[in-house]
Amino acid sequence: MIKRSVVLTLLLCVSLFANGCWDAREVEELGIVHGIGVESADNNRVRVIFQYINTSVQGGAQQSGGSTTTFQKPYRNQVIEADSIYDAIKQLPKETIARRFFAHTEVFIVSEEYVRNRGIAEISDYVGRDPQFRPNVWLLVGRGKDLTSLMDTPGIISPIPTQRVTSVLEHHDLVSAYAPLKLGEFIRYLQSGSTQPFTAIIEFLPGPSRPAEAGHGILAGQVPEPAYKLDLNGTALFKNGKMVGWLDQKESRGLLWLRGEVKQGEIRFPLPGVAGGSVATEINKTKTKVKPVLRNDELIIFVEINAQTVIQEVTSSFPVDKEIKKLEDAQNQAVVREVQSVLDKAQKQLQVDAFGFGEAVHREYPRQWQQMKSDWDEIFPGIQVQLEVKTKIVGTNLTSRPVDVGSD
Amino acid sequence: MKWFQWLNKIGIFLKKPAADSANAANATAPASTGALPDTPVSPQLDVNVNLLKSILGEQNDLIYRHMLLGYNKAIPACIIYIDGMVDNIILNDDIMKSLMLLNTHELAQGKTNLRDLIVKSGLHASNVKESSNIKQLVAGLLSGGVILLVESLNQAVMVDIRKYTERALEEPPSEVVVRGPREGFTEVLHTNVTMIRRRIKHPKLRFHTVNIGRLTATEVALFYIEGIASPDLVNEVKQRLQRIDIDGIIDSGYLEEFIEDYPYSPFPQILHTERPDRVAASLLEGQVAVLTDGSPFALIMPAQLASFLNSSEDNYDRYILTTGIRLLRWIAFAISLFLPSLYIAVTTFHQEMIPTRLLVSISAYRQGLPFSTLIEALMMEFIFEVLREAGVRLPRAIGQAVSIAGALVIGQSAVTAGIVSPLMVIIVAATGIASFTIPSYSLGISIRLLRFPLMLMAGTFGLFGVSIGFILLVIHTVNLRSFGVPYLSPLSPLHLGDLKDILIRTPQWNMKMRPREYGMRNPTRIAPNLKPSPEQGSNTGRRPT
Repeated sequence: MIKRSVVLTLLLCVSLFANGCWDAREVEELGIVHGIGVESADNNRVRVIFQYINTSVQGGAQQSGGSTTTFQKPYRNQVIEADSIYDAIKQLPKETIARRFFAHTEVFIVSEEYVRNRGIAEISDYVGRDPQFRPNVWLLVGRGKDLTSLMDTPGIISPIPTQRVTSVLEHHDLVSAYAPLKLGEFIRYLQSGSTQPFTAIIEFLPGPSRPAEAGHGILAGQVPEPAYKLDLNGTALFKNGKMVGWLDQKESRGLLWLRGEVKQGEIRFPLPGVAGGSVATEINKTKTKVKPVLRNDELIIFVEINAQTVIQEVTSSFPVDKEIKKLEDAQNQAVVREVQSVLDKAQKQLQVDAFGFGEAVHREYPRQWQQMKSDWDEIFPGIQVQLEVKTKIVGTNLTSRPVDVGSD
Repeated sequence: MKWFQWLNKIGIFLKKPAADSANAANATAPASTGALPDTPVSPQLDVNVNLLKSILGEQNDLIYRHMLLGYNKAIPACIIYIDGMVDNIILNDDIMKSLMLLNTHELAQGKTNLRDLIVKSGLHASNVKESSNIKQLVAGLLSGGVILLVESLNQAVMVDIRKYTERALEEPPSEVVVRGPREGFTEVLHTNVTMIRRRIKHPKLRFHTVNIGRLTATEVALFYIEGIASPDLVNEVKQRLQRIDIDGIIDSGYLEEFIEDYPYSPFPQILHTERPDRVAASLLEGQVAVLTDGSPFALIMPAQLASFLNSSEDNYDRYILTTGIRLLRWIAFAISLFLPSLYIAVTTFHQEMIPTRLLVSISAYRQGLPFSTLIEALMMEFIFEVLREAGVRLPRAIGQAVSIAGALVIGQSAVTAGIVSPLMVIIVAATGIASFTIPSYSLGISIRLLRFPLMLMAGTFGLFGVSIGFILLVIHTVNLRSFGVPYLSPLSPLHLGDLKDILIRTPQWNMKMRPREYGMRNPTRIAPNLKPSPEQGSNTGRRPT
């Protein structure tokens, strides 16, 4: 018995060495792709920009040298033109020895021109299929200048351009002025048939601090002043896999109100009865209830938005503590305007249901939904939306009345 | 020439037991004195003395003191003892003096006989035995007895006044506690037995002594508390001890290997301790302790994995603190077993599991390193073990030099030279330190050993390999039994009540039962309702008015 088990153990040990780590890859061999940009090239080809993290610079391994070392960018961009995105990825091994590694890819930027013409389906199919990609990759629509140069503009705190984008995106809840989606969710909406996908638009504007044309002639350790200002300023709406229109920041907020995804952000509205004066409040807590009601074959969607805010800024003299009710009314109006604007645009103009109304109907009336499902595109523009906004100002921060110059 | 004779004798001595080992197997108890003549004591003094001289030889420290008993110097006698093993003061003042001044009037008048005179009134010593068997005499003599042979008496008198130099009681160096008793066992069984006796003053504290080892005739004492320890367990231990037939037992480690259940397992199945308080605590729980003469380490059985992770101090500190420390120890146990293999698995196979920033810095530090992570880890762990071993064996003064060299060469230079990554140094150091938190040295060693196959598994199969290794370990340990007690109990089989003293420690007043696996003969440990409160007792705790 003992002998047999000894032989077995030895055989097992031998097999350990025989298979030879077929799957092993050392960390330093990996080309860690942090962000990917996709835009159209000539002849119906795709230009894909892979942004690698240059780990020998990035990881803090710069002990030796000091100022004598030549400056190395903490990232490397590799631009490949190919027939499709997978084609481009397949060309990577020809150009670099590093193994591509997409598990840490955090952002996927597709140019507006590309998604308007070629659509997003091709990319989302590949990315959803490849096991290396995580479903929580941010998907963004890039607007303006060509992506190649946009992905070469590092930030100050985050020296990797795409890291700069993601670090801003992480805090999208603080402003609630654009609606980014992660890839997994985007694909889910794309396939759902009722809710249409949407995602934030990123724009790079020329930075005021430094002319865009200057090169990287700086010393090691110094981070260049960004040549472009990063601006997430709207939301792209998709229909049938192609971008059909976009919402500005106000309309994006409206979209988030309807989806119940507003977390924080500023509401600014005119002071009631004071010409030229305005109040800014910070949103604290929100709750949105969407309830579809089917009455005599007519679909009405009741939307109830509740929000709590705190006054942050009052520009003119106003008895805030006594007239809080008036302010709340004015604030309600401001929210209604935001929501109404997006309803007008999405329902009437673009006819895109990005709000999840279809899903709400499906949940509420599962049987009737089966008939509505195929005609949802026609039904959606005609739906009556009953909006009820109840906001509450719960605080005025440290002072209850605005600073009134010379009143005492 | 004398040396040659002596060697020759030893040679014969050694050969003989080997020759009749087959017979010895049938013997009820292994003969402790080897093949000695079973002759009775002769009434002639000269015959007896010559017989003993032929058995023992003329040794310098073997004293044959011829004397004449009685104030009238009527009776020739001889005292035989080994110099250095007996208390000379007692021998001179209380034995020799009284014998030499023995009043032999009554003997002459025929009122008493010689034996009664000597044994009943002649010897001013407490521990006196009579024997007419040469074999027993030799055994007694060699373990520090004084033999009195008297002319015309066909039996000898043995007086036990043994006293050898022993080291002072010290704090056990292998099990240091901050709070708790500071005395540890010594090499002398006698002292150790007293230490346990002093802690458990109950008539039911029992111990059996067995002599093991044909040449060493080492005294081995088996301790238990009757009524708490299961008789089956006691018998089992006794039988396993009696089975041993060997030339000598030098340390309790010899015994451990003869009586453990699974000799091929890397896991220790018998707990050893230098602390009498720990032995006493184990006896109270129904365990059995084996003490060996010549070894300061007592063996406690049955033992489970959890008892190797508990320190005796756990019961002396307050329970809240101890609970935290126990959890910490279990975590450190897991770290010392799995950290290097997890690091290897994750960095060579599952990079997607590492947070991006960490991955980037691991990658940065590994740029240009010559070895793969697996080789790097094996190398560093090996060097760490070398350093540790060097530090243990060397004299303390040189040991420090080794650790400085190790810290500088491995911690600093290897990194600057670009041979290993600083992260690997952190991993190895963390693993090493974590393994030192395991209170039991023997478990710590086996965990260190098991790390290496796990690292190989991790380097070839990744996390899959680590999980296979873990599963194999669990299968093995679940199958282990120590004297019938499952090794993983009370975790598996699960005894919820016993977990109070394993993973955590509840207050003393809450641990009402003895361990389920071996303390169930007498399960209740404490009286009910002992939870203290300000209102306890009659007047105590009241706020003074």
